[in-house]
Amino acid sequence: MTDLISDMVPLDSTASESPEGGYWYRMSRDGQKLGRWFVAPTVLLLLFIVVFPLLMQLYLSLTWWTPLDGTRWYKAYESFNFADNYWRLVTDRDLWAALLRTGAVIAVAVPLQFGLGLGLAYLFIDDFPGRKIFYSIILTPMMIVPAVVGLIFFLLFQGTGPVNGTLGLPANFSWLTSVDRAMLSVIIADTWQWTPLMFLILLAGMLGVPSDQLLAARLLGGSNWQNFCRIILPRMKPVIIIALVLRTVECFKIFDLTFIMTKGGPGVATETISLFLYKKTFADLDWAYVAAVGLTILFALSLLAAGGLAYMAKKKG
Amino acid sequence: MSSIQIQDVTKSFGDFKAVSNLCLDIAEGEFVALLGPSGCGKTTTMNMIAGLEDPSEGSILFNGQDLSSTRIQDRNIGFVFQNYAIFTHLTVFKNLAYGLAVRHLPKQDIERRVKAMADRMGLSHRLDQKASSLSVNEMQKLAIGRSAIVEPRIFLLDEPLSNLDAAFRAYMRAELKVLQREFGQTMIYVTHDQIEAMSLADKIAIIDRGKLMQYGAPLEVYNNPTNRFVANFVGSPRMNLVDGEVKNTGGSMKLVIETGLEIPLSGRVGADIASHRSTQRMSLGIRPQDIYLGDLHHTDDIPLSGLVEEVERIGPKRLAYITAKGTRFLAVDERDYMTPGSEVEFFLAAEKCMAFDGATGERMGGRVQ
Amino acid sequence: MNAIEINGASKRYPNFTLGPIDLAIGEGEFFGIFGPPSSGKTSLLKLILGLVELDRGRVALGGTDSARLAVSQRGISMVFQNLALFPNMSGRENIIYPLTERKASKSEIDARLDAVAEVLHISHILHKNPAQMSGGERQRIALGRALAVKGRAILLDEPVSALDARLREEMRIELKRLQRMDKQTFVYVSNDEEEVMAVSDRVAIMDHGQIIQVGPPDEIYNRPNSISVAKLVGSPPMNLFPGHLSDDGERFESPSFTMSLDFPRTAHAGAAATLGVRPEDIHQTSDTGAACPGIAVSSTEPLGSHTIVNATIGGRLVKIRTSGRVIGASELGTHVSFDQRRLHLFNADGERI
Repeated sequence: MTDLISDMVPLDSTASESPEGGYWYRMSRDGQKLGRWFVAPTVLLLLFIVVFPLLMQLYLSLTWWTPLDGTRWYKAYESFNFADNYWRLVTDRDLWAALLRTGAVIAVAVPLQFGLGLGLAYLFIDDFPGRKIFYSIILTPMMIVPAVVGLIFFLLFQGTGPVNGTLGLPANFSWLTSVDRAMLSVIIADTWQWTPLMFLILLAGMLGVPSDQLLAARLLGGSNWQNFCRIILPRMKPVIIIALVLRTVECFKIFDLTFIMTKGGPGVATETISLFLYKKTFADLDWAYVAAVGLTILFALSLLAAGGLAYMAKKKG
Repeated sequence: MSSIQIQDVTKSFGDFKAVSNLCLDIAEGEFVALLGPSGCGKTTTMNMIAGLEDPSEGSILFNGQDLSSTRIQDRNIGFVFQNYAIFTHLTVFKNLAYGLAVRHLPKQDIERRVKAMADRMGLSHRLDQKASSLSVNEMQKLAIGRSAIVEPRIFLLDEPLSNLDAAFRAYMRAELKVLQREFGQTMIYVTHDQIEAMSLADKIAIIDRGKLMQYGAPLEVYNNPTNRFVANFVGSPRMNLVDGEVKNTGGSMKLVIETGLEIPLSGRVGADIASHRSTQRMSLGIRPQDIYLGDLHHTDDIPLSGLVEEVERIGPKRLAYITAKGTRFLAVDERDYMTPGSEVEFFLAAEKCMAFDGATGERMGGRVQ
Repeated sequence: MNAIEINGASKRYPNFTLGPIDLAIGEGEFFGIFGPPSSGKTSLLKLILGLVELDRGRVALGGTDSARLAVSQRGISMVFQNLALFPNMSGRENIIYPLTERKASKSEIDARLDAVAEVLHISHILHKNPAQMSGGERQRIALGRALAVKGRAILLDEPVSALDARLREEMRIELKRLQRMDKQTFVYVSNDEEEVMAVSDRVAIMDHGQIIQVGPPDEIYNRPNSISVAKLVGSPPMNLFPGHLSDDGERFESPSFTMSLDFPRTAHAGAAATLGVRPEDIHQTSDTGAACPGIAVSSTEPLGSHTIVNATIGGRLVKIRTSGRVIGASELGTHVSFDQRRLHLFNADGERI
C-alpha cells in the first residue's frame, strides 16, 4: 500500500499567527478512497432516516390524503392536488398566528439567553476558586430532559406554587392560565434550560481569543469593557453566529415546554407552531397539510442556517 | 519617561525562587538589557516591572513611586511581546490607533499620529490592510509602533528579535537603537543573545538562576567580568575556561588539569592568584581572540601545543578547536593554515588571562587593561 | 556515486517556481543550504524527501532514480524545525523508534542508543517525556532520533533555530562532530548564514527558488559570483558602491569616491559596475592617495571582540569592521584604504567580473 500522506506544505514566515513554520498534509488519493469506505455506513443510515421520510413528506404534501381515506399512503397520488396545501398555508390565519407567537418567543428568549450566556461566560474566562464546581452546576439544566423541565416549571408556576409563595403573591395570581403571563412562564423555563448552552458555546469562543492579545490591549490602556468590545467580541463573530442560529432554530421548534406547561393555552395564547402542527396531525389528522407546512418551515430554516454559514465562510476567508 | 529602581526583589513560585534579591537601578532614558539563558528569571523580572506579576518580596519604584496599587491599564508601560500579539482581526491602522482610541482622543489627532508613526516604521503602505496579512518582520515593526505611539513611561521588550531571520535581525538592531535615541525612552530589553545585548544596550544586567551576576556597560562586562558565569556567557565565541588545581612547585605556579595538561601561571595571572586567599581549585579563562599561533608576542605569554580537531569559519575568521593533552581550546585566527589534523604550537596572551575561584566562581585579582 | 543527485528538477507553485535545480551531494558530505525566507529551501528538502511530484527533472538517490520510491523507502531521516517528537513517549522511546520499526535486535538498539546519547549529552534525560524537557534537550532528542538509523542522508530543517544563542553555537560543532563520526550525509538548511557557513563542507545559496551559487564556504565568501550572493553572505553585509569603470579600466569611479585599482579590469573598461568591499577589508590609513578615500564616522558599535564602525564615504553609508580595541570615533583616522586583493567588482547584470 502506498503512502496515505501525499503532500506536505510548510507554513512559511508570512502571515501566520504563529511565526514558526510547520508542516500540514493532505490525504493522498488512496487515503481518500479508504476514507470513503469508512464513512459509507453512516451515510446510508442518514439517507434512510432523513432523506426517505423527506421525500415521503413531499409526496404527501401534494395530495389531499388523510389516514381517514382508508387507502395506503403510497396510493395518495389518487387525490393529487398540486399545490393546494401550500396555498392553504399561506392563507391560514391560525397558522400565521402560531408563527407570530413563535416569533415572539424567539425575539424575547434568544437575546435574553444570549446576553445571560455572554455575561456568564465572561466571568468564567479566568480561573477562580470553585470554578470547576460552578461550571458543572451551570451546565446541569441543559442535561435535564425537556419534558421534565416542563413538569418542573409547571409545578413551580402553579397558583399555589413556590413562585407565588416566594414573591408573596396571592394564590389567584395565575401564571400558566393567564393570557399575558403564560408565554412569559414558557420563556422563563426555556431560558433556564438553554442559557447554559449559550454559555458553553460562547465561553469556548472567548477562550479562543489569544490571551496575549488581551494582555497587550490592557497594557495599551484599554479598560476591561473596551477590550471586551474591541477585541473579544469581534473575534467571536463566528461563534456568536453559530450560537444564535442554533438557538433560534431550536427555539422555533419549542414543543415540550408548551405542551406540558400550558398545552397551548389558555385558549391559543401559547400555541407555538409545533403545537399547532401537533394538533393538526393528531386531532385533525390532516397529514397532507401538515406535511406541506413542515416542508415549508424546513426550507425557511435551512435558508437561515445557510445564510449564517455563508456569512461565517466569508469572514474566515 | 521614568527611572526604575528594583529594590531587593524576590519572586517565588511555591518552593522555586525564580528571582532572588534582585537590586537594579535603571536611569531615565537608559537602554538596559536583561541577559541570561532560558529560565534564568529575566522574563519574570520583566513581568514584575510591567505589573503582570507581583514581587513576593521587595518593591519596584518608578521615579521613586510605587505603582503596585495602580491597575495595569493605567500604568502606561509599553510592552512588546515575543510573538508580537498584534490584533490580527484589526487593520494596521486600528492596531496603531488602539492605545489612542481607548483614551478617547479626537479622531484627527489619532489619524495624524498614526500616519506619522506608520511613516516612521515604514508601514504607511499597509495601513488599510489586515494585520494578519503582514510578514513577520512587518508585524515586529507594528508591535513596536503600537506601543511607542502612546509615549509610555518605559518600554519593555521581551526577546523581540528572536523570531526574525538572521539578516532582518541585524537590520532591526540598528533600527531599535535609532528608535530608542529618538524616543528617548527608558528601554528594558530581555534577551538570551549576548550580541544583541552588547550592540544595543547602555548597560547589561546578566542574570543566572534568578540572581544578578553583573551589571555594567557592555565593554565593562566584556573586559572585566566579575565571575565565571559572566565571562563564559558574554563574548562570542565563548571564552575558554579550563578547570584545574593550583600547584606550587619550587616557586613556580602551575594549573594542573585532570586530563594531564599543565599550564604554567606567571606574570599578572600568577599575582592575581597569589593575592587571592589560598585556593586550590580555579578556572583559567582566556578568550579565543587572545590565543594565537605563529611567533611569540610577549615573553609572558604561555606556550602550549596541541592537535587541531575541527575548524569552523566565522565570517572572515577561522575558529579552531585545538586539543592539548585532552583539554579543548578554541582559538580564533585569520590565517588559513589551521587545518584539521595538524599539530600546532599556540600561545595564550598572558595579559588577557583571567583567573576564577574554583568554588565561588569569583574573579581573582583586579581589573584587566 | 553521489548520495543525492538532482537533475533539472522544477516544480511550479501558485506563488513561485522552484528550479530548475541541478545539484549533486556527495556521500559523507555536510551540505548546507542557505537563503532568505521563502527562497525555496524547504521546498528543496521536500523534493529530496519525495513529498512533491516534479513537473520536470529527476532526483536520484545513491545512483537510482527515486521516482518510484515511496517516502518511507528512501532511507532519509529528517529533523524538523518544530521537532515533531512523539509526546506520549519518553526520550529513549523516541530515539529508538526507527530502530524498533526496523526490527533491530535489542543489543543493536542499546548500542546505538548509547552511542547517540553519549555524543549528544542526553543520557541523563532519556527517561523524561518531551513535555518535561527544555528546548535544547528536545532538539537533541530529535537529532538522536534522526541519527539512530544509518540511512542514506539526514535532512535538517533549521534544527537549532529555537535554541538560545549560546546553545546554538555549542550544538553546531556537536552536529559537525556527529557527522564526521558517522560519515553520514547531512543536508542542513538554515536562514542563519553564519551557522550554515560555519559547519558545512559545501553550501548552496538559494534565492527565489533557484540555486545561485554552490561551493565551499570559503569560495562563496571570497568569490561570490553575483551581487545577490555577495549581499546574502557576510555579517555585516558587503558594502556596495554603484558606479563605473574608467575608460582605461584602471580606476573605479562613483559619486562618492574614485579609486585606482591595483588589478585593472581592462576587459570591462568604461562599463557600469558595482564595487564591493567587505567591512573587514577596509583599513585605516594615514595615506591620502588615490586609493584612500576620506571618511566621516557617525557611530561605533564596540562588541568586545570587534567593533563595527558606521561611517560615510562621500555621503554614502559604509560599515567597517575593526579590532575590538577601537571604541570611539577618535581612535579612527580620517582615511581608509580598501584591501585591493579583496575587492569585488560586478557588472551591470550583477555578475562577478
